[in-house]
Amino acid sequence: MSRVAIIGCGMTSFGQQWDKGLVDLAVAASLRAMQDAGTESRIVDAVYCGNMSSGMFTGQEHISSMIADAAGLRMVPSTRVEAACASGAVALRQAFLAVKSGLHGCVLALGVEKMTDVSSTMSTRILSAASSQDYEASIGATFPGLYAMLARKHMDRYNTKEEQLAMVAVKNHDNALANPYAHLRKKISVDDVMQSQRIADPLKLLDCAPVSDGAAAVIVASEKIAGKADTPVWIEASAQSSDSISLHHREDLTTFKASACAAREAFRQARTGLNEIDCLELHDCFTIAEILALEDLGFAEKGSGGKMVEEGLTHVGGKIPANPSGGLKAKGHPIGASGIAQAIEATWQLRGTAANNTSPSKVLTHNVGGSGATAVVHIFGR
Amino acid sequence: MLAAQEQQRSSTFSEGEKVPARTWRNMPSFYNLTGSRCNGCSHLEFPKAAACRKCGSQDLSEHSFSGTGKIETYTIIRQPFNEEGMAEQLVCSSPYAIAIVRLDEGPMITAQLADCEAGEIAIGKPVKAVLRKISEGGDDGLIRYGYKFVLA
Repeated sequence: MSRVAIIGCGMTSFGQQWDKGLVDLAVAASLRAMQDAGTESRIVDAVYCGNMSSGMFTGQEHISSMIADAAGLRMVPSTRVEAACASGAVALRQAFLAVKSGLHGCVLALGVEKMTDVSSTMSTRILSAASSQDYEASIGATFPGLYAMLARKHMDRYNTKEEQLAMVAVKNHDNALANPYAHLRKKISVDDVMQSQRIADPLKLLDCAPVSDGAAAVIVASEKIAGKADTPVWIEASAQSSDSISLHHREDLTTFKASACAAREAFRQARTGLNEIDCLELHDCFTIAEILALEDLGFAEKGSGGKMVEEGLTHVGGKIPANPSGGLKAKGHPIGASGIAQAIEATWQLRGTAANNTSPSKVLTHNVGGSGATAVVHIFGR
Repeated sequence: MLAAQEQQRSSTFSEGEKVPARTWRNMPSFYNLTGSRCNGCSHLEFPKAAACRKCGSQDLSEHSFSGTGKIETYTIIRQPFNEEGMAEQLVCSSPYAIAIVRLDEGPMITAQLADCEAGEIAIGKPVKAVLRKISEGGDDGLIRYGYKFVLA
């Protein structure tokens, strides 16, 4: 079967963008992606839009057609996909499948979230809709609270330290300093994290990704179309897995089984293994999530993710750089956009144009929905 | 035709009226910790399931859990859940504790821990379920009651 590539990338900067609405953000990223691909917009023959909760954040639904119209893509089939924080990567996967099937030649995959039109308390409630409304959210289990309970269990079972969690934030903030698109371009220390406002013990404010506005878009194309592009980046694997939405239905509270399962399938599709991957974009909505990801994907032994971070193996220039973009933690986390922004960072890394260039030959991206109920792994190569 | 229209009208709520169905249908789980027992493999689940998550059987009976268990993991939530002007308000102190509790019968459940200080909570401590106010002022306007856990 013929290959599928990313031939264009565009994103807005991530952060509080009070002067821009949801559609403004989505269209800005989409037009940039089309311009980067060097294609006229008429070549795009389908749109997939990842978005978690435009309805609750802005009151606007039916955004797929709205965005396509405003981007000059009327009459093109445009579909919104939702999988909480994994909405972006699921949209990318739908675009990949549509092109892989031969039905479409050139597809726009985008992700967008407009989060700052509501108060921070309201955004906390909206984000908790990624968990069970009846049996988690509505009894007061906030989203940081769920990850805090995972962190507590990991610390209890594997002796992971709060300082090791903090080191994930410090590294990702360091990486974001060079990224012009990043929300939090501010150097921090382990002490800063440890002394930041407590959110849900043991997680503190600087353990958490920020609430950001933003959009990201890529043009996904068939081998035939990509052959004419200057620097196509090939999607070598696109794998997705699901688990129970509630943590209390899992067998083990120190692992995301769906991440491990998606990774296994991705390595199979790409006919590759851990040793051939040399750069990672991981789902670090909270610092503990990056540690879980390192273990679940197989880059760290179970229980030793914290130690791996402490030893500097995941720094830019280390054995396996994780989140050279700054990750969700420092680049920002406009929910629906994050999975697409990871794919853009992978593309820029492979083109050699990323802010923190690690010159990889293969990049793996990992996007999680909720507290591990959806996991998506992509592998990209030149 | 008219009768059918009349029947349709009488089965729905008029505009502005609160709809209490969601609170009502969840009462068995929230009041009595009612879940399922698989008649095939004896697997227990909370809340009620349509099919057994272990063996897939749809032959299930109701099972009410005793409400005793141990803390599997926990957190103290310090960011506000309530804001002035929001309809639904959580009924609890602030900050408040949330735990995942392993019930003695096996399944786990997520719940608030009540009547305790942060320093008293630890993984492995025994707890028991109590019936408390969970929230008030939500979409249906009802005071919602349900389980919280206290240190045993």
